[in-house]
Amino acid sequence: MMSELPKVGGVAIQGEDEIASMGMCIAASMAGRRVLTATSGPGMSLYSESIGLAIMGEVPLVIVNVQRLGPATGGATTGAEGDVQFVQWVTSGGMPMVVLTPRDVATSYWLTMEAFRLSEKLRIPVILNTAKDLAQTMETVDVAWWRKAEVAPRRERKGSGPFVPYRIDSLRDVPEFLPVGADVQVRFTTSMHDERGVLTKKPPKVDRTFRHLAEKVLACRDELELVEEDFEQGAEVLIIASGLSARSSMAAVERMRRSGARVSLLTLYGVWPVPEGAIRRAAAGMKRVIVPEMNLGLYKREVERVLPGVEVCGVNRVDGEPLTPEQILGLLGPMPMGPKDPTSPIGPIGPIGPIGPIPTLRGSR
Amino acid sequence: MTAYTYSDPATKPYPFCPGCSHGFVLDALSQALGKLGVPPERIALVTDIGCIGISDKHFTIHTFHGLHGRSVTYACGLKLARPELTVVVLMGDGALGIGGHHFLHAARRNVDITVLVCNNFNFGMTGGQHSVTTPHGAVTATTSEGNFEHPLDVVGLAGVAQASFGARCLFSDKRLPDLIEDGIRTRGFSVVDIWEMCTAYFFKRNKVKVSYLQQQMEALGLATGVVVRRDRPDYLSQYLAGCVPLAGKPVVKGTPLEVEFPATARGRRSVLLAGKAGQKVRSTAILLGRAGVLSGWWVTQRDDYPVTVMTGHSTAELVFEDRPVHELGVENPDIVVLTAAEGRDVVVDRLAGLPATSVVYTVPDLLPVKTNARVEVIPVAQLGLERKRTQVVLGCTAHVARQEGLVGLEALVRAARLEGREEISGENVETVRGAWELGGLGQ
Repeated sequence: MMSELPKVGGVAIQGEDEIASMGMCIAASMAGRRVLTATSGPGMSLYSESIGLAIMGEVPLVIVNVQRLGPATGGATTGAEGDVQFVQWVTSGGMPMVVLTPRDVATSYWLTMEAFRLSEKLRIPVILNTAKDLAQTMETVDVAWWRKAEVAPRRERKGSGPFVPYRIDSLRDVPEFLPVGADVQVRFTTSMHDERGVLTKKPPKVDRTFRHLAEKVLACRDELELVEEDFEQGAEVLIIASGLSARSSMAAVERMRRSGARVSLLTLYGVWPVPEGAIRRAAAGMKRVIVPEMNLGLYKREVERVLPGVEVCGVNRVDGEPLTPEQILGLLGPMPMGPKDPTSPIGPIGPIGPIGPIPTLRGSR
Repeated sequence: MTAYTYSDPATKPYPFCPGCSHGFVLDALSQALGKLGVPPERIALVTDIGCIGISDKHFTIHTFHGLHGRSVTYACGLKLARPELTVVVLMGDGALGIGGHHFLHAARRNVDITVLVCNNFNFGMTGGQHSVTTPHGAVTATTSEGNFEHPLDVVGLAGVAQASFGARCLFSDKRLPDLIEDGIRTRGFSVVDIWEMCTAYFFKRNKVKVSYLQQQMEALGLATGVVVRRDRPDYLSQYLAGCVPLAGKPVVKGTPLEVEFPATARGRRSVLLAGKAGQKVRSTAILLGRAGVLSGWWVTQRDDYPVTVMTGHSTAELVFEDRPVHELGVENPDIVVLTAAEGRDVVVDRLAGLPATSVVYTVPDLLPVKTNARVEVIPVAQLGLERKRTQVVLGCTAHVARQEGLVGLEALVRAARLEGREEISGENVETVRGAWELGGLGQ
């Protein structure tokens, strides 16, 4: 980035710490630029207060968290997926976060674009929650999947006269944007504020601002349900996974199908808000749901909450290595069998199609 | 004076406590901006948290209010994003303590911003706790027996960090607007340390009057007026000058690999290279992986090495499949290539657990290998790899690729030529060809 961004008029700087990096990014975003910052677990901890600031000030911002084994320094360059709850509850106030998790290099590329699009559209920080083993693994990518990134649009201010920076008509509106440095005065504040960006403690105004910050995200829930469905007719077992664990699950599913067993897989790219609709649809008629994770079952509790009465089993690995298909297979139990198909791979293998992975996904535009 | 206005008199009176001196600073800032004559829409005021942080509404310039202690980071971000802006920070001594190292590094980088430290020796907004500038012996909410710590010299800190400008004065000093103007005009990091009185806490608790400020300054041997002035390029000027050679150059694009050679096998093969630092394990793995892609395989490569990269083990795991690779980890590689004891020692447990269907190729020095897998000795001497420390892994790997039918010679040679530096690619081609051909003799 240090050598690439100046070629296109951008700026890259190594902050003195993650707090400074976030502060600089937030200010640059409010000055009208598109910004991204990246870290791993301990750095996410330092991002915490600024993530709250970005939510409160309605700042578009993309954050990449390369998960590694925690807590604290944990295992530097030891793999894990233990931040899946942390990224949702990373800051004070309890606001809904938008978190995307790629599974491979192709979806890393695509979801980074998607993170920019969503962060600009909703004026929120969006977290791309990836993992060490993906970030530090080289892999073949089909260039046919590639498409040029577009600059994500932000809702610009249309009128003239004095600018009211946080004006909204309904709670789900995203306010119009003018950059700091525009020709009329722009106020930015992340203390509780009214529509003018002036500090307020008046209960009705506080209530409106607070509910708006949540409502604008939750109103887009359907659009945020980014999943890949690989369903098999007659399956009674469903695997729900994301990231590295989704890769292990794909390998497990492939082996099961080669032996004739029927099993379905739901890969989550949009992890927060929890894609409840997609999970309910996928689980319809299932006897058992398996949630493989490289942690002690952090996302399993979300699946249990969405699927009351359904048997939800976790399969967990926390020694730094990705789950093996065998570990997942061990939990699948007896299931309906069909004809053996030793040659057929599972449904969609990775992101496919000439224009990128989008056609295989639900949600998103 | 210009026709511009920077503050709105209708918002007065200021909301500060009776006797508080913050109003002097706000008035002085308005005066300084007036003397500068910069259009108000080209000025951004970043306010920190604290009593001085509630000043935004009095100004008609851009205002930016964030978290406690982080104002300098926002100021730096604004300046980097919009260099045309004049950026001024208003912070208290509390914020200076919290964000001290942002202050330090912005001064060190010499980012062209102006920081006004409204220094009243305590956290006035939160009950008068001691701060980094509380004088020794002074009483605050958290130093009831007198402060045991020594106060920080704000301007001195900026000075040792090589900032362009530093000034110090009392709030009542007639020079204050001029010092602020001077700071803003100076290219690079500027700080004005403005000594103030907190009538709610510090002055009340210590039973002092305004004369205390002058006495304290003298006791510490600190001068007023411009204390630091240094002709030094600011950060952004250096950044932009340094990036001139990059401007307009094409963004780096990878060259896609085409499938040029018929795939020699189907299914899935996994390879583990286990060597040591300096043996070019990673670059050999990249070469082999590229040869695989050229031959129609989908490949993943996962490396492992210590944080001290020039010593110890170096391993690389490659998975070749005839469709996208799902699993990133390899529990039991089909093929292991051992070239150094350092590498062997980190995979020793995995070697012991290998099934009989796997094969371990090893240099003769590492015999015997404790494993259930088939063991093959790499004829290092026959392959011409003795005394070729940096080429031994590549030569051994080429030999193994040939033995296992993983990729063809031409794919390896083509992959070796993808390395841009000719002296390296030439040597690699020679090693690959030599090992391939010499390994085939007598078979």
